[in-house]
Amino acid sequence: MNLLWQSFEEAIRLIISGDPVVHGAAFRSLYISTLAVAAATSIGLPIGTLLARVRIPGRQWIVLLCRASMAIPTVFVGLVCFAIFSRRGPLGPVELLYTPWVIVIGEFVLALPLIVSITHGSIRSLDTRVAETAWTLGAGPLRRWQIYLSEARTGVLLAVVTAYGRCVTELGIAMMVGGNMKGRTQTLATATALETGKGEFARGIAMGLYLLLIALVVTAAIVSLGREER
Amino acid sequence: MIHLRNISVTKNAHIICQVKQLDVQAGQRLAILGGNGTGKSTLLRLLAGLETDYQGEFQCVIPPNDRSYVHQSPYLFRGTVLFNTMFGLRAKPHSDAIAKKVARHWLQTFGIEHLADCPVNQLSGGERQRVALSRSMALEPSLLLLDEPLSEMDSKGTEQFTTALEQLNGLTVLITSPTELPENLTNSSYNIQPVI
Repeated sequence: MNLLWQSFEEAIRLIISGDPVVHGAAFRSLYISTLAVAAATSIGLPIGTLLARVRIPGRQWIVLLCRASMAIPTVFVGLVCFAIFSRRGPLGPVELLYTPWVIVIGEFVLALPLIVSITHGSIRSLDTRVAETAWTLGAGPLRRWQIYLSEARTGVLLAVVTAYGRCVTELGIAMMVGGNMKGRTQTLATATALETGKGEFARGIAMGLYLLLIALVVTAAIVSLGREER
Repeated sequence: MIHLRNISVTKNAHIICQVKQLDVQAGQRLAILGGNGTGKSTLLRLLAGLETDYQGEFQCVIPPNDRSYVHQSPYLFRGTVLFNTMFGLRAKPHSDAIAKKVARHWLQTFGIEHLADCPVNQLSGGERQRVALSRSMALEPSLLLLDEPLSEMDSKGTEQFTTALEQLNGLTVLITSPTELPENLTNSSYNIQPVI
């Protein structure tokens, strides 16, 4: 118990003093996850809406695949990305392995099915009068899409928050394709594992606290954006 | 203008609406009367273009984007009363200022201009119905289809609705109701027969 308390005090000191390892990993985690989730959101929202509103052949299979992919282990995504971007892989010549960009791609793959599935579910469960009212009032496809997203705002924001939470805390992809290289590809999750393994328990806790703080701030910000006017 | 012959709509192997013959002329204000479950709403949905799975002959010279339909229990989008009233106007090539002016005019006609900035989830049933009517009438469509618009209206609301209809002279209006409508509201009626 004493060890935990001492480590906690040391962790707070590291955060306040601006420890470069802790802050560097936190900043890297933030920008990698933000880029991945932003890309997955911009592609996932139209796909989710399309699957919910348009009768595309085989759409139930696409939805099923997306739902199944929500539970995919991050280490498996990491493994596939590694196979693709390794020197002998099909995209080996682009030399992205062990760079932050390949972690962004991996996290994008992780976030996309999650955003598609939750968006699809939220828009499918909307009252049928939403689409009928928008259509009878002369709204075109783009305006109808906007109104679907607005009406399903709570579910859509939940999709983004869940995806962000999954990306910022994931370990498998960052470890497999990032290589946990200090100052280059180390994220909060990989650094926490490494520092704890080295016996730097306080640094591990400092990074864990950062992860917790990021999760709280992002969730609060997104939830406040989608707050009902009640 | 509207021509229906031997129309029947089937849902889950049950006929839910049957119309043998119905013709509507331009400018007519027709009351569609009938009890619960006679298919009044289905008929209106068919005329609006929302019900596409039917048997029989249906012709309407007015294109779907010039018909406006108000549900029996209207759906209002998240946001304010003004946002909802301007919704359809924004789809037209109006400037935002003109759309706002038109929307405010219709809100005034229905006596709810003071609620323009009010979120719709704070409205009563009658107020919601007034907003939905303002939203549709602001578009000045050639064909207005109203499903029991007076179901939650008080006498003042009915009066405001009559005044609003008078402003749209020449407009073809079809109104469903389970009971007789006030005389000055419509100029003809059609009794929908229960499905046998």
